[in-house]
Amino acid sequence: MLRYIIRRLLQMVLAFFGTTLIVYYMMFQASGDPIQALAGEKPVNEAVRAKLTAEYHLDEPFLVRYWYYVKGLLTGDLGNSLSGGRPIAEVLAERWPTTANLALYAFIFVVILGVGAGVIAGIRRGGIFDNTTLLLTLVVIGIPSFVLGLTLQLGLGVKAGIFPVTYMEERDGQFGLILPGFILGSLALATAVRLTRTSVAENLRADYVRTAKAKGLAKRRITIVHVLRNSLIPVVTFLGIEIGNLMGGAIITEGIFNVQGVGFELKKAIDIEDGPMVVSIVSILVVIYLLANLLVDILYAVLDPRIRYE
Amino acid sequence: MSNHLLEVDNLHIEFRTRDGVAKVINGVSYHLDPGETLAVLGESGSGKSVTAQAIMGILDMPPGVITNGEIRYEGRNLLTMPEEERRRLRGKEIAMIFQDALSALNPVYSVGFQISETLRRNEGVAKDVAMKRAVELMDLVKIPAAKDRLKNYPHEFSGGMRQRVMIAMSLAQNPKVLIADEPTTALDVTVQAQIMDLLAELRRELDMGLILITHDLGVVADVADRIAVMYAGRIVEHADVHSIYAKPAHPYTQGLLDSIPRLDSKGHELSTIKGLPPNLLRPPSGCAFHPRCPMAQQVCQEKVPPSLNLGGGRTSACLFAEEILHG
Ligand SMILES: Nc1ncnc2c1ncn2[C@@H]1O[C@H](COP(=O)(O)OP(=O)(O)OP(=O)(O)O)[C@@H](O)[C@H]1O
Ligand code: SF4
Ligand SMILES: [Mg+2]
Repeated sequence: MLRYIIRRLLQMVLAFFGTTLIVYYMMFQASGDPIQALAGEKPVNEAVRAKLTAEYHLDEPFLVRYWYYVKGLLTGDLGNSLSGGRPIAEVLAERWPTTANLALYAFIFVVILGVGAGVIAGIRRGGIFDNTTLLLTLVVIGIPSFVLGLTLQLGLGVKAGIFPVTYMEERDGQFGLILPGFILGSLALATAVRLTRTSVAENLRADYVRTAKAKGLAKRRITIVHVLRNSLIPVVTFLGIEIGNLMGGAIITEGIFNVQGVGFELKKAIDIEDGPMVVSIVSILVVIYLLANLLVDILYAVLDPRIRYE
Repeated sequence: MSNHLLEVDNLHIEFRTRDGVAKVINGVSYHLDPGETLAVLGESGSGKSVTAQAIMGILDMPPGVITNGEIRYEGRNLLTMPEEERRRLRGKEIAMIFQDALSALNPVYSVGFQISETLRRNEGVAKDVAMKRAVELMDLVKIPAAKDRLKNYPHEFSGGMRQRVMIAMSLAQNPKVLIADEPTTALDVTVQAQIMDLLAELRRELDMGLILITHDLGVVADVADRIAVMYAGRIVEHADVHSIYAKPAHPYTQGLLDSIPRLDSKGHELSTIKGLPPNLLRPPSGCAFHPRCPMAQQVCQEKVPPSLNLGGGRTSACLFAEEILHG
């Protein structure tokens, strides 16, 4: 087990350097003039050019510059935003909690509603509950999430007035994030239902369930201890990977409800071509993906003893 | 009514599927007494496992439907018993082991967990006591270094050892009847013999009744007391081992005997039974074996052969049983 975790950690470190190198290269090198890439399409005067050159070590070779960038990333020193000149780390520290909160709501919906409904549907396969949820998941999977988002915003927000139409932190607090969270999680929720349902139904037919019955175990015990434990292995994998996806997806949902999180900041940075900000956000997202994957791999090994010794 | 430990009486089971109704068990009767071994023999699809599953109460219903018959354990009909009461008999009175121990054991729990599970859950034994008992059981089935292997998972054992784990698990609650459904089919030949010996030994030591399901007539000669031969959901012949080996009273049994490889038949071609088992969605008229029977007559297509009592507990479901036996 320990060896497995160490190996996964090493793999993660490699993946970290690989992806950040690509991001860094694409941002500053592929476009020719790194200063222009940093500053966007605005003309750059000599003073700014000199300042940027010093700040980003542009007179050094590429790999050295990359090293400074990684060091900054790991120590939380992300440089300054081109607009307003505030430290990027400070801006993001302000924005991340909102985005993380939004993703957390989505995740809770996915786990409780998605996995819960999937388990019930899998156990009562072919029943009314199963057929209804299956139909609903088809609808959700079929509709692009921004359409679903706008529809629910109109229906539950504008018409019914249950949820705020746009989010204002001071006014709405946590409550305002529920509807955006649900919309953000909807696709993953539908997928979780289907995946869980299939997995549960498959495991219910497995040979080891027949053995458990022959042992005289109570039905409840067979379902909870034997079937669910096995069924949830692929579901946990899916959920772990979704953590990263939800963070990324939050950026789009934030736009619909005007939630001022990282997505809001990223969109602004792209609009005004604030290169350092874009690179920082993308890099942090990459790290989140990698951490989520590591978590999944470890959880997977905990849940499935066959993985540990491969 | 005779008082056997376990008695299957005129059992009828069909599977109602989209393709139609398959009459899979058509009046099976057999019995088992304490301490004896009954071998249930027959080709794939003859209904050996379905009968066993009906005894255990683990038949898939639906699509399976028990349309007629009784299964009595110590005189009580299992089929009309409340489910909760019946569940308590499972594992404790009648236990079962399966062909493929790798898929029949839960992959995510240690063997110690699985062996001790019924003790903890059904008998309320404390965990450490149950684990000690699991080690004893693993010793009993001769798993080397049992104590060290308690925490191992099924995939960490060899096929033969895994089947021993399964046997240990089935013995946890000291059942009076053990049903072994092709316990060696998935194993190497040498390991097969070891497992078969182990089962025979355990049956003797623990004085269990053993129902040994197999389609290999070769392996049963040494261990079984009686043999029930199944074909298309019927017992076509039933007799003690010696009588059957000396002189089968049914052409199907004769065919099975002829297909056993023997040392003296080296170089000779093995005879096998020609043709395929019948499609149970549309079974043949009359005797289900007639399309493949070397002795079939016109009448065999018209008349379903009743189970004929040949004396000494011996029966045969062939219209010409007497002629075969005495002719
Ligand atoms: N769950 C099920 N649904 C539909 N048909 C089934 C089911 N289980 C068994 N059958 C059918 O019942 C018949 C008897 O099957 P059974 O498993 O008892 O055969 P068997 O004698 O044990 O054969 P084998 O040697 O292959 O194990 C087969 O035709 C099989 O297709
Ligand atoms: S009844 Fe006829 S077909 Fe059936 S086994 Fe006897 S001889 Fe063969
Ligand atoms: Mg079978």
